Amino acid sequence: MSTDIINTYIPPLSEIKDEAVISVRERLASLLIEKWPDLDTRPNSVFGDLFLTPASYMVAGLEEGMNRFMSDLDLENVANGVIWNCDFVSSYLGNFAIYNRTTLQSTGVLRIRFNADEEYFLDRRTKFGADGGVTNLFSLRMPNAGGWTLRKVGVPLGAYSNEAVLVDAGDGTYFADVPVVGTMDYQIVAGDSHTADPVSANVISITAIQDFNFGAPPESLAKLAEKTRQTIYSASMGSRGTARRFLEKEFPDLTAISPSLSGDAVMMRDSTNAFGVADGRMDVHVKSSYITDTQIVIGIYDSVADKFVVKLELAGTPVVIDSVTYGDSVSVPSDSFYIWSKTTDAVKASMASASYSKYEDLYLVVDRLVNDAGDDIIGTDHDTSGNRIAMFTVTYKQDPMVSVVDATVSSSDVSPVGVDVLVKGFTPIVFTRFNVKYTKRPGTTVGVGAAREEIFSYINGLGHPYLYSDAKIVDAMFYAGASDVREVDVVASVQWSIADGFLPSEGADPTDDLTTALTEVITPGTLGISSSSGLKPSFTDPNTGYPSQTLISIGPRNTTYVLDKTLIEFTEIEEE
Amino acid sequence: MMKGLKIEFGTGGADLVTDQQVEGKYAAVQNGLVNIGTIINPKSIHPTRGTELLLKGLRGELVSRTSARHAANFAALNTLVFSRQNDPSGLSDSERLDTIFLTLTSFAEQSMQLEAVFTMSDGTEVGVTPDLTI
Repeated sequence: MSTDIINTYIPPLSEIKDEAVISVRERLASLLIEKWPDLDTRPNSVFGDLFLTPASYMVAGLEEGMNRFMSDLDLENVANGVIWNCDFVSSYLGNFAIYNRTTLQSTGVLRIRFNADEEYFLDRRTKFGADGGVTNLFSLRMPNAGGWTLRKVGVPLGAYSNEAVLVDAGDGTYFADVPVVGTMDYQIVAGDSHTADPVSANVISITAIQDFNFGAPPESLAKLAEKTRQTIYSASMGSRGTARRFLEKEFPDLTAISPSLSGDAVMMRDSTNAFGVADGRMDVHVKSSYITDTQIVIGIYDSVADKFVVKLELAGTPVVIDSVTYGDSVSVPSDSFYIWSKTTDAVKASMASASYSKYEDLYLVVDRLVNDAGDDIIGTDHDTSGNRIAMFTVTYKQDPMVSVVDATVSSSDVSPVGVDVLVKGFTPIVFTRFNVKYTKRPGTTVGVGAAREEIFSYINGLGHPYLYSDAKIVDAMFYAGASDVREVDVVASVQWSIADGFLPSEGADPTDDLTTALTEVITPGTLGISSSSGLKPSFTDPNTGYPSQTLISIGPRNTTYVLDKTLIEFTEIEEE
Repeated sequence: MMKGLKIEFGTGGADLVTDQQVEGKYAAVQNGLVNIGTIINPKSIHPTRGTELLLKGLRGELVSRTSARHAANFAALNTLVFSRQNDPSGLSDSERLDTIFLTLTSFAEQSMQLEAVFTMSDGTEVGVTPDLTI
């Protein structure tokens, strides 16, 4: 396609603003100085007046032309009706398979009148024209193969054939109405006369019995551009690959993105409808850089259960509870507090399916702590309702992006039709030990500090499709100066949820009835890992379908790792 | 040192000399002379470029030596201001116009002659005698 840039994009010189020309002139003069520092480009100089000023007009026009060209590439502008070159924009939209629906044809019905009651056959190729066959050409609209047969008056019609029966008009003429389809440049109204090619015998007249329908109105480029944007936008969550690319584009700060679909091992929200067809489900696991937050919460003492309980309203999506302290200093032992999870939408995400998503309510339950003398360690107070309360400080790591991504993906513009999308975090493997045993050559030193930083960065950045590999640890150690790595000694466990147990959705609210909730909580088994080769687990809840189901799952598509930097240790061993 | 193509001014008008160049203060003086003889056009990208000297002559407003001298003085002043506004930064004093004197030496029915003296910022002078025939 050859584009006339001058007449389509570059404005007439009279429309170019003086400010634009002066700006260009100054920039051109500065540009020329680099090569010709002595060249006199001032106004009144020969070069300045005879070349630079006219050239400034041309370049200013080109700049405006380029702006207009860029505008034609920006479909938002086109959708708003700002179009400088319709031919170009039309071709450009063609790249997105968006075309005007010129092939959607006009339709109507023609009445063919004969002077004899006979059987007639209309060839499939017959063309009808309203103005002698020049424009507005119509063809027979036939549902079945073959031509169109017009039977005599009263003859029954055959099945699955293009047939019509003549009607006796009572004036010695016989007619049949046949549907036609074609293109219409101007409105054909009822009564408009038509001709046929080839002409059938005994035809007296061919007339339109109704105003013809144009079909879909031709769509403007602006409308097509808007459709393009909508197509690209909504299609972006249509599959695993496009969902990942869409999120990579929209949220470049995500370190890992992994959509899992119905049928994937880790997808626990699979279900079938009444017809036995699997519903479309997509879990989008996302991960960004975790941040550590501290929050003070007020626990209410339940004298029957002899525990404190509080519903946690933590920022972001909590990933790991680092500590719970009474007040701000006395640490609560890890076996004296529990986190419970309860889904807020059992239909969308039940039990552990809601883990690390916005559909998970979390409750902190803390044992009443006493010293050897039986006195309370946790000091309490009373709130205005007379409840005995205690203040706890929760320190936790949270992912701030999960809720942000969820808000975007849940919007009607993005969420794919017929697919239930759940945005959640990855399931972390939390390390409690990470010891690298290495050797070094005599007289050399190993930069364990740098190695620790690299290992920390590597492990905490992992997420599908990248899983843990000893090779990266060995690389880091070699780079730090080690001569060999003998073992990466790890102890870790899968953290199914930030919670220790799951409460049934229909069960008691712990803040209302802690005692009953205690009896209802279902605790998933612990999946411990004691060697680095076990850091790529695949496991799903064996109790799925039973009352004790928790719907826990882990596999390559939803695995990530949480390693505290202080846990990374190095042990130098003697070379044998 | 600024360099430009040379223009030869004469009683018949101005000719472009494509194989010669003017440099330094002569380039500045040549630009000044072009400005004096250019009719000001407020609608151009340089609305203050040029003077009304030639325009006044064409309109028949230079009816006396006094009015001609008066118009010449304004032309000199406007040219000096425009020149300074468009001097590039870093221009040496020897190339920067400091004063322009237009002295009326001849005044006839269809023409007048001015003697132009350009003084540069370093004190050097260049004198020329343009002829403005109407």
